[in-house]
Amino acid sequence: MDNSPFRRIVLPALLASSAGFAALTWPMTSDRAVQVSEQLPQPLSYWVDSALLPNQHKEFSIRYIGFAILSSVAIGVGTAKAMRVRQGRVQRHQGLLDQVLLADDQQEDFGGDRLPTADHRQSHSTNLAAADHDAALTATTAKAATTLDWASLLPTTPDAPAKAELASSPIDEHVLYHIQGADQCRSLALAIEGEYYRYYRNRPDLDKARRLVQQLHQQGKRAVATWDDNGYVVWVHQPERPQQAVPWLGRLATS
Amino acid sequence: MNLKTLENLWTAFVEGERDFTGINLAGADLNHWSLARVDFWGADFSGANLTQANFRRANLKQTQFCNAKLAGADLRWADLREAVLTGADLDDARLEGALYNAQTQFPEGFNPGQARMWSLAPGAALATKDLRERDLGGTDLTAADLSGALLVNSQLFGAVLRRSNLLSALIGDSDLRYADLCQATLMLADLRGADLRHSDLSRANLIGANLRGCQLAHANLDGALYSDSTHFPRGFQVPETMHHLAPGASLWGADLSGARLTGVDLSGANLAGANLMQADLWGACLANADLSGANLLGTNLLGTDLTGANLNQTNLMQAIIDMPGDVAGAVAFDSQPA
Repeated sequence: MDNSPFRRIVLPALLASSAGFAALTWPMTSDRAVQVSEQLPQPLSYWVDSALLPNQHKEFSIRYIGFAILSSVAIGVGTAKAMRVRQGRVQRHQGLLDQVLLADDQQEDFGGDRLPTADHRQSHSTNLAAADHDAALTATTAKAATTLDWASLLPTTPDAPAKAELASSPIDEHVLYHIQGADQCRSLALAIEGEYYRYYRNRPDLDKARRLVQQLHQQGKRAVATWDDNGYVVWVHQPERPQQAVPWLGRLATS
Repeated sequence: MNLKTLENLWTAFVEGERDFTGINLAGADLNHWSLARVDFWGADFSGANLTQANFRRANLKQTQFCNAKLAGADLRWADLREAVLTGADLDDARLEGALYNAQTQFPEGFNPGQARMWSLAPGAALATKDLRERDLGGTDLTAADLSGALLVNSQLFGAVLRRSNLLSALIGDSDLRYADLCQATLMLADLRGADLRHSDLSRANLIGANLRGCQLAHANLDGALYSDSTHFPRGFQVPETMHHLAPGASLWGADLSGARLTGVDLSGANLAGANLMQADLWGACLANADLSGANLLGTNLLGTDLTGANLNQTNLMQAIIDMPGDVAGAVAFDSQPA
């Protein structure tokens, strides 16, 4: 009930609207209002007098009440809007705070290392591409605090491993093929130890690549990721032997 | 489906997140939600209430919609390839331009053609279609008709566009790394800013194509065709293995089989011994060209100017020509007069 829209938005709006209406119609019901109106400058004094004497200025009084109703409605709507904006801001801040806390919890779980595959970075620290890769890793780490809590949104399979390790390597290190399956469709594939991994999807950063690999693992599929200066490519294991496999651009292993 | 998940989704969405790959929204009540252009690849909407929801241009590839209520939903130009729509209520749903393939599972009795959906498969007819900013990576579109199609800023990594017709297509700023464009017709195509690294452009037709700002490192351009009107990136050294198509060009023994050369001016060119099998030379000018010993098997020569051409020992078997009398002198002759 504490977080209900009625309490946080509708109730304040109703109160503000009622207060506005009461304030605007108070002169018509109070004896002191005549004394106050006498002290007001012209033409304000004349208008208030007209409102206070409904018998003599019936037409004006009706209009004034209409004005009071419309004004109070406007006050109510304005208050509701303001409360809604405030509520949204509070929720956003709360969400970010929750995620920061969650990220901190995860950091504690990893023993201070948020990225289980951090060792991989060291092996490529000498070349430029690896430097870009490091930058991507750093950016991902920084972004982790502000992104969605995926743990609560992803489907879970009891048998699936809790955390999928991301086997990632530069795309240039692999031999690429064009494979053709039983459906006669061609696709780009990676060959690793005699097994083919069909192109699955490009991912802009390590976090998203890892998440996708994790999802594929949960579906019982083997997947690997490669990287280059444009981001990451996820490849999924092809269980059936392709009918045809042709080296990409007629080139075999480059390394 | 708990309320916290929906709240979480909404908070992230309001903050600008559009990538919800693999999200589990089974049984969620999302009726009237506006989720246009959102990435829901591999998401689960089984049994969800999506009545009147807006999924326009959304990525719904491999998404589960089993028994979902999609009545009145807007799914126009959404990507529904490999999506499972079995048992889904699609009453009054709008599906014009939504993409599907052989793996998309529709409710019983549903006809995607009647709903004006677009099939993405080898040989697909997608001329002038709007496919911009799509994730079409790895898609096999062999021999597809994409002439005049809008593919700007699309993800085409590893796509198979072999022998496809991309005449006048707009493909600027697209990711075409590792794409197979072998023998593709890219005549007059606008490829400005496209990433073509590691792509196969062998024997592709690049006549009049605009390749300014393209990345062509490690691309295979062997036998690709270009003309004076082809715009290459600044500082690009045209490989000797490419064929320059121009009046008086030397194309002796060149393999131009299956090439679309409509309206090309090859007057006085040396095409002796060239392979033009199944090529389309509609309206081309081959006046005074040397076609001796060339293979024109099944070539379209409708409207081709062959005035003064040397057709000595030219194979014109099954060639489509206007006036059989004009090609006297060819060794083999079994044409189909128009």
